[in-house]
Amino acid sequence: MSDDPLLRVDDLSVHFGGNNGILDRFLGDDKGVVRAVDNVSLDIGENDVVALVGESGCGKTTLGKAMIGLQRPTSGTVRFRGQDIWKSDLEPGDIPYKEIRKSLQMVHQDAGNSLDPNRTIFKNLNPALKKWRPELNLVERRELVHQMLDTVGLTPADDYASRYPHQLSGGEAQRTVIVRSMLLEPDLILADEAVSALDVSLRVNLMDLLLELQEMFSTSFVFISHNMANARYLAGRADGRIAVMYLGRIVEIGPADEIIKNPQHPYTKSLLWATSGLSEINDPIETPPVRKIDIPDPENPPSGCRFHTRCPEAREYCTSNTPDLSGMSGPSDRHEAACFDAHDRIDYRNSEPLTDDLDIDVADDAEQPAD
Amino acid sequence: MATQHTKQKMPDEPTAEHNVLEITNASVAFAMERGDARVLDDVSINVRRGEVLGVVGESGSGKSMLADSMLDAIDSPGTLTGDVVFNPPEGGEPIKVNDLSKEELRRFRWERVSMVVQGALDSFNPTLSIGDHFVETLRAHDYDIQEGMERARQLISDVHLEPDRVLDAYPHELSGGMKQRALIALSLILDPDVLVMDEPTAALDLLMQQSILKLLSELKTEYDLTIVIVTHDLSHVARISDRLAVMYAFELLELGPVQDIVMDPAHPYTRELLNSIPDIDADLDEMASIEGTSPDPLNVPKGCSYHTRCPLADEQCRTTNPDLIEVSEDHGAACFYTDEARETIPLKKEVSK
Repeated sequence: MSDDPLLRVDDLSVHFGGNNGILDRFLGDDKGVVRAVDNVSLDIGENDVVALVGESGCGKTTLGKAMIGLQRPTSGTVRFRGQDIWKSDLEPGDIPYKEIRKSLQMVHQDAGNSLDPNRTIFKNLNPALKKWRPELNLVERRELVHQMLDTVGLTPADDYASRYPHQLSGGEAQRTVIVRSMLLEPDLILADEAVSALDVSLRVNLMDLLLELQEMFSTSFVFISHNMANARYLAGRADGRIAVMYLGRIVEIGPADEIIKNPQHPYTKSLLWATSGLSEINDPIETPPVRKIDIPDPENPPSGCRFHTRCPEAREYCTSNTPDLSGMSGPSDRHEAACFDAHDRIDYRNSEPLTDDLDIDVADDAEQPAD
Repeated sequence: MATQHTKQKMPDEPTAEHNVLEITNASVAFAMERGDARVLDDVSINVRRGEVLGVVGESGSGKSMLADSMLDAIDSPGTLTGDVVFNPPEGGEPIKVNDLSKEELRRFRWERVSMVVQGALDSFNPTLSIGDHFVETLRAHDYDIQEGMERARQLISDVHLEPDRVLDAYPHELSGGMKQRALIALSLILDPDVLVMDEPTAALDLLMQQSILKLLSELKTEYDLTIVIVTHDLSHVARISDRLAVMYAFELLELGPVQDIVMDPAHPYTRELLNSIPDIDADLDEMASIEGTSPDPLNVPKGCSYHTRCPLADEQCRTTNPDLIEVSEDHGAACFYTDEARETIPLKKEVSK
């Protein structure tokens, strides 16, 4: 057990939809299936922080939900301290499902809507405690809630505890939801775009709070974001990693600093291009470093490397071969990228470059369903 | 305090031919049970012909109200007071926008000033194809449909979409980024002089956001547009804008060329806002949030509205609301202590260099 990481995601796939008629199954016709997550492997250690970054529809939320057991995978496994979280017939010594459920918590994107508007903050937070900490009586539960509200800066705590959700600002609601997930002392918290809805001036504050709590309770964090700057702040401060997802796959993963300063995958580079800092305000906006600005249809993802339809470095070889995540020869052995160019593969070098410079017609042909 | 008397109020900007829109003392109020909510408070700003003006503010700063005022599009029961004047580029009588009749206003919008509203992704009618939207708009304004649709096809190609495919498509068949681009094309169909965009890219991915900004800068040159972009995210519009207007608590706090605002802002709020933006290039240790929260529209603090959060606030700030004063050429800030602000609130290194 000691060798097992807190959470191990192994070859995980989550597929949605599709015509699951019996004939389709015989014909192997999986048209209409969205491969939201496709063969992803990832380890989360104790006290680890991983930021999952990608555009909408890349599968980052689905992967996150599958990791904490809110979404049953189509194939592959998620192991919590070595045990498959979907294992149904538990043997002696196994961790009960209830325990796993409690250890893996989530902070939702829209904090305001994940609180019951008809209950006060205390009554919103109380049921979770009542269920999972039955040894506490009401007074103790109230005390614990107040203590946590204090910790996240919602003071005076007894005032906040008696408020209703509509009496909170966006930032306060977000803090409340974080308290709710922390009350169960989980091992891992999935924070789905936890700061995106907040005003820019409050984001750093909330991320600092998450980091403080992470340190205080030794909780691991998976932080989902579409924003590289936020991901870098959170993962960078906690000495964590950034994982970049594209169409259901992790295309690059590594220490936050490495990903920001030494990105290897062309997709990561394009995301960083889109996150230009304020120091570049004098330069005119450059042409996007992709051949096509729209994401391909996820029902019909490109063959080979899924980024080849947009990638500026793509060559013929990328259209039929799928690169795997593998280590970069760089300063960090934790830095991995799935790109033939980054690894300087000889077959890739010898094939013809794809050229259809921002040409809509060519790109659309590749994307058009065959029917 | 001594410095304040020597400073001039922002001088009136160049003549009418430079300003396509002149907004003077615009205020918007909503009557509510708890009292009057002032959601735009005495804002004067001129939009210059051919510029990109970025209006930046947090949620509830009044920035959308400022954008709506430019077309007199304040929703009832809100009321707009003050003057909004449009100077036609071809010369002729200035048009006082908030005196226009309903019919005149209907023509003014789209043909003179066109708007892409927030939540633009829901702006299309789901039962009409994208092409129908173009036809409907042309018809409502008595334009020649055939000629107009030629222009539509051109505009759609300009935003990197394929006219044949997009015109026949229904809104749900397009992705968010494609819809947003189609909407930008639609907003330009009647060849407006000014394009006002309220959070034009907020719901989109970063790569798409940046690509759309790039497209906008191309469209601006090609169609000779003046663009006003309203956003909560300063770093996003900084590169496309010529000038930035910073709003806080329904007032204009700072206005100036983008370089000045980003590299040498004079208002404490702007300085702290810049420091709080999670910037990709900045040192992690130097980012800090602003303490406190923005005020409630029903209960804006007396004096300078930022005094409750400002580290420099003193008695004067609590009682007197500072005017926008000129701190350097073409750069104004509404603060008594702009020199002190620059001294005591250092900017993150990466930005100031």
